Amino acid sequence: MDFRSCSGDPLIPWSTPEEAFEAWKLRGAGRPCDYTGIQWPFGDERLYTDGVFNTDPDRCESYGHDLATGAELTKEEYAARRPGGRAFLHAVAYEPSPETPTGEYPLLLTTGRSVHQFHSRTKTARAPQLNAAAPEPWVEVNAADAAAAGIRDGDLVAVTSPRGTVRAPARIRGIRPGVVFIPFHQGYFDAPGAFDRAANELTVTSWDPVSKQPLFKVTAVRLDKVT
Amino acid sequence: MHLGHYLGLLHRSQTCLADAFREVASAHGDEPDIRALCTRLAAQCDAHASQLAPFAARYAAEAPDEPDRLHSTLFTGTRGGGLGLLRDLHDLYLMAAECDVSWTVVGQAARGVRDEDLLRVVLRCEGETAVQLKWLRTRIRQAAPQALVVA
Repeated sequence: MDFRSCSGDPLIPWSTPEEAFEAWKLRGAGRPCDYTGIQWPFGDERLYTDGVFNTDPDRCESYGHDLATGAELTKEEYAARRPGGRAFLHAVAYEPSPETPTGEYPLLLTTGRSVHQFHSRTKTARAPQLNAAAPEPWVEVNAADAAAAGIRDGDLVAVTSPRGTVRAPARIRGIRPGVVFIPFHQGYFDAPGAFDRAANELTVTSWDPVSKQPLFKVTAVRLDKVT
Repeated sequence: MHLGHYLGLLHRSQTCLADAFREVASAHGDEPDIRALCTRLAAQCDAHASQLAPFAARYAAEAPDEPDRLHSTLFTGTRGGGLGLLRDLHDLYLMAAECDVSWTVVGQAARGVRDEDLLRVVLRCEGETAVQLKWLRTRIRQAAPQALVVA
């Protein structure tokens, strides 16, 4: 499209992976997260060797939070700890997950990625090779849990949480007993009405109060063979 | 000795705050973080109240008749919508502040009567109340521009 900067130079000056990498490095130069020490194709073992962290109150990106609630600390509270380039190690009292296995939903569902797809596939679904490598979700299950439910490798199974049901073939693998896994890439934007293949329909709508990371790893579910 | 009255006041304030957290959690359930955190903080307030209960009962026996206007009502129900959420969090903040300063009062009295057991409860709980205030202020800061300017 030949986008140009105000001075008439190409807006995107890079064309090779190394050039893109060098341009990306410059974005953070002099900022708290400075990657300019990384060399292409590999650099020093350690980026920061002086042991000085970016915790100075005038330089840090935040004054920190209470880990359990996400409550923000004030600059005064933070400065009173005299950060001075030292790192902090924070601890928080144990809290059970919002959802823990019960009699009705005895297994723990953890959702995640397959190597061929990215998030909800708005890009990777358009790359035929990638999409064909992992077109549908599956349910990874331990041999003992599968045997208890009368499930053999490849059987169609239903995974049900308090919010919905996903149906997909079982893959019996070495996953931890008591845990099942479903990749979360498949939804229904390219499969209208296929609500029973979206792992995201099963998870709680909740997130970590500080990082805002969604709670995709702690869903209580039931596993049934579809007959 | 009036310590029993203040223990009763704080016990009731914690119980009212627990109920108010639960009401706000339920009324604003479409804000998932509000529901999760208010439910958790309600349980924390219940735990504060139950730790205070034996002390309130013990010191009540030594207290004269309850004075007039000891208790005040800070919460009269939830409201709907974005501005309603802001006002509800504002109410919770004032109620938590009532508890916060009451912990200070009771803590000073506990030192005065050298009640180490009561002082341990105060020191354990007042920090949690302080974090509740901090979280409410954080969430109010987050809600205020949307409720006052955008909506």
